[in-house]
Amino acid sequence: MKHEAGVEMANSSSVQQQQKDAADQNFDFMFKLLIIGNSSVGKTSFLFRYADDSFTSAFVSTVGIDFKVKTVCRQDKRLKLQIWDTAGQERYRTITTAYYRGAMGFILMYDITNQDSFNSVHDWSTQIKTYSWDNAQVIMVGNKCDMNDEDRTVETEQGQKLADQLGFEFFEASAKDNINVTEVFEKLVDLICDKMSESQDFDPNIGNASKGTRLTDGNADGGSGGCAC
Amino acid sequence: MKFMMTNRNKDDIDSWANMEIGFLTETERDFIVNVLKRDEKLKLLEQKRIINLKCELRDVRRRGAKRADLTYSSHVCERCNASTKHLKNKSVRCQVCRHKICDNCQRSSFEGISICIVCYKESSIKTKTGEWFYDAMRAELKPMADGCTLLKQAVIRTSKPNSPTPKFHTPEILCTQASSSSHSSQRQELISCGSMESLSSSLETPSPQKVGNLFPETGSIESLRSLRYMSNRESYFSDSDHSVTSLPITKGHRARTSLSHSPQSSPSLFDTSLSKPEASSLAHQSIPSDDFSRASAYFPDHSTTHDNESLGSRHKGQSTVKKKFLAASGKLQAHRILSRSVPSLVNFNESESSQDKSTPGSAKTKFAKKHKNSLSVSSMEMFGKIIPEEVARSTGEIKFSLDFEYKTNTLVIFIAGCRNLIYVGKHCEPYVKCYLLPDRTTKKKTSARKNTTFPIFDQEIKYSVTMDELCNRVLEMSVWNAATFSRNSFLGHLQIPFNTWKWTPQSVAHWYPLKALSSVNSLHTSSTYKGDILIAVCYEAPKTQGFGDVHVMVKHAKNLIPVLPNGTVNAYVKVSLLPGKESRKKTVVVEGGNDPVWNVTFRLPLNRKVEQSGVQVTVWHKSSGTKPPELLGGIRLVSKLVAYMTSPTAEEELFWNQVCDSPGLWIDKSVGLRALL
Repeated sequence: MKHEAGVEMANSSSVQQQQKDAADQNFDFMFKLLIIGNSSVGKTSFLFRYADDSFTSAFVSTVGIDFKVKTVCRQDKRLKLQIWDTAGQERYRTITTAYYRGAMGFILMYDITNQDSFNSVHDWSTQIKTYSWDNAQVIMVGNKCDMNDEDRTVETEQGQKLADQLGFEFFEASAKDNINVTEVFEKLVDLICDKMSESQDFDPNIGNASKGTRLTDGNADGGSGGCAC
Repeated sequence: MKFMMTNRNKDDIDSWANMEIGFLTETERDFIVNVLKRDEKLKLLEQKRIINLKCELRDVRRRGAKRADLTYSSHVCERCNASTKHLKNKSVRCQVCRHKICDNCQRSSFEGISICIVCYKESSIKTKTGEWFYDAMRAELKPMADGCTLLKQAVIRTSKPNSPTPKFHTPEILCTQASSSSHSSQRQELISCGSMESLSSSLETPSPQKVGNLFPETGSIESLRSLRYMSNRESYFSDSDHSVTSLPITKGHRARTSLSHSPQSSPSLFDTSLSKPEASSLAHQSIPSDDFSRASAYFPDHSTTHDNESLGSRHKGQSTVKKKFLAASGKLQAHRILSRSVPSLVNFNESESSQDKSTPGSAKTKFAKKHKNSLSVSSMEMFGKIIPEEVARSTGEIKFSLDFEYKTNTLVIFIAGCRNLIYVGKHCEPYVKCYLLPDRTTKKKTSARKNTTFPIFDQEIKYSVTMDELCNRVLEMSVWNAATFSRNSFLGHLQIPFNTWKWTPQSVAHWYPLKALSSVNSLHTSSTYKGDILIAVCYEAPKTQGFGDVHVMVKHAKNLIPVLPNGTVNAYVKVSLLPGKESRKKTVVVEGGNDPVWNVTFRLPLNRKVEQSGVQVTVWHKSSGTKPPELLGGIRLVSKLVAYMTSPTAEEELFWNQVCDSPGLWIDKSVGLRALL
């Protein structure tokens, strides 16, 4: 396994876009997201697919921690996402767990062709509960769903069942074939926005307040939740 | 894969504070440092955005006439005091604060209930800043530093003595972060006075750098508090500071050892950055203290960033956090935080204003004058003429409309007038001045109106500019009082970034509140990143007599702030010895780009002991034609004990101490440029 610093998978134009995104001040909210999961489940690829729309099958282990910035629109609001990509390897654990605290949302990832990574999901969720805020939002993602059925070791039902048990949203996705990648992030952003508008509820003693329209109404599936702009 | 599962207990969380990253290889560490740096830039931007939001909130609050006891006359809006007798202007009760408000002061919340403008702003800012999330965090997690802070400390702890300490953008970022720490501890008292001016007043805090000198080891909250009241004394000291140029050096480790070998100064050596063992061991002497303070300066970032953000709502837990932190990190650290906790702009304003007061023959004017002349005209216009009281007071509103004519590529600013300008003197003659920032050559003015604080201009200002270009510009409008026999004084300003401006087809002039300069602009100017300069400095000890020489090699600058419309600069560097004007050297002008390379070496013969001298390196933009050059930023390598004009940043001081301590050796470093010296 090699450890190379500063490997750039993205092409130059998307790098420029990244820098533009990072320097962009014109946004309404900033969310911090964290991607966790065992080593080699595809966290970095997932992030690169989302942020740069690029993919490479070469495996480069993340050193400790890294992040990317992406600005998205959601119902006329501009959201800046700072997405932290963590190293899955045990040796970086001290570094990565320190980042749980600031994260508003988590993507807990496993590899559908790797039973071990699925078995660890429970442990990861305990880590989240230990180190992060109670109301941080979590989405469980089974990555590499483009793989053949003979390679698959974790059935979708198993994943869904565990996610239900843990109380997380569940997706199967593929960074390689760009399946459900945007949807996962959109859903996560929706969940955080929901929490946020809940926190905006004014004094509970307001009797006649109609708690009808939420920010995310009519949008619960995250289908039209965001657009990459 | 098995985890060491841990329970939620305190020890566990405490153990983070000592994150161990010794297992990382050099490349891995560099990679992580790089990530941290990127994050830091992002944080800096975010911090600025949040401060701007807070300023907005403060302005809204200031205008509102909210009273806790709800005692108002019956037919008046309890926010803006407008009459609500007329049918046109019906009053409603805010569902949150129960104040009676008029239509104008009413907003509907996300839930569709009507609330007053202040409550609305408060809640929207909570979401925009992310407070909604961090406020509700579990109590045991709150006092913990975030991942980056811990990691930074760990990196600093484990950085090996013979490798250069990983450099974050120390001066700027420490300034903002640490200044936020000064905010928070001041806030206790400010809030207890019920004052909503806390943000502005803490922004106007006098430079504790100098105060730090006055109270060398009293790094307590009390001394922080006392800072605000030190401003007068402080300017006095800064005056005398200059005339006393030969303070005794007290630091023990800087006692000069006699040198056996004469320093090398052959040109071939100039290009090589030093890596000799003795150099590093010498250099290392002063590193730990800096690391120490650096680590401590990162700490307040955590304990205050989020605190800092809520002005009105919660204050109890924070002060204890702050106290805990101070207690834990020790007095010395606290002192160090103080000693660099305010943006250098404050210094600048102070020195400018104190200069205004000083008589022509006074001890400091000579140097100050030189310094003043060398500042860019525009920044002088912005800051030089302002008397602090005026800054605090300036308010009022301006009415204007913006229009863009696509056919002719013309921006038309129609300035209708101003109202409620606040002017202390007898005859107010206001006029409006516009810039399309960052290009400072775009000054345009309206004519002045006599004897009024409600001037009607009805004038158009036109700029020939394309829409694409305009999106990168910020319209700066400021209102000034044209005085016949004295300085023009500042009455208020506002800035409009065009990238967020919503253009409307038929432009109708609207009223916009003017802001005091201190609230927004000072932050833009002082804490923004101005770029870095890489220089190498070598002190050559005297062979027989004299004081020896200092060699300065100007290598290159990075990320200079663009001045020209095409986003580049024509940069050159001036190097001079401090104090005084002696041996000023200039490089050639490198045209275009933001990362000019010079690679020039200058020899500056010292006229006093090296510890009592210093080197000032300033980067300038050479303007075309007869326009004066524009200062892009500078550094001041000098020991704090003999700081001229303003104290050096810790980074600069450390650099200079290293130079002093290792004669004959080249010390090279990338130093963050400061906006104002």
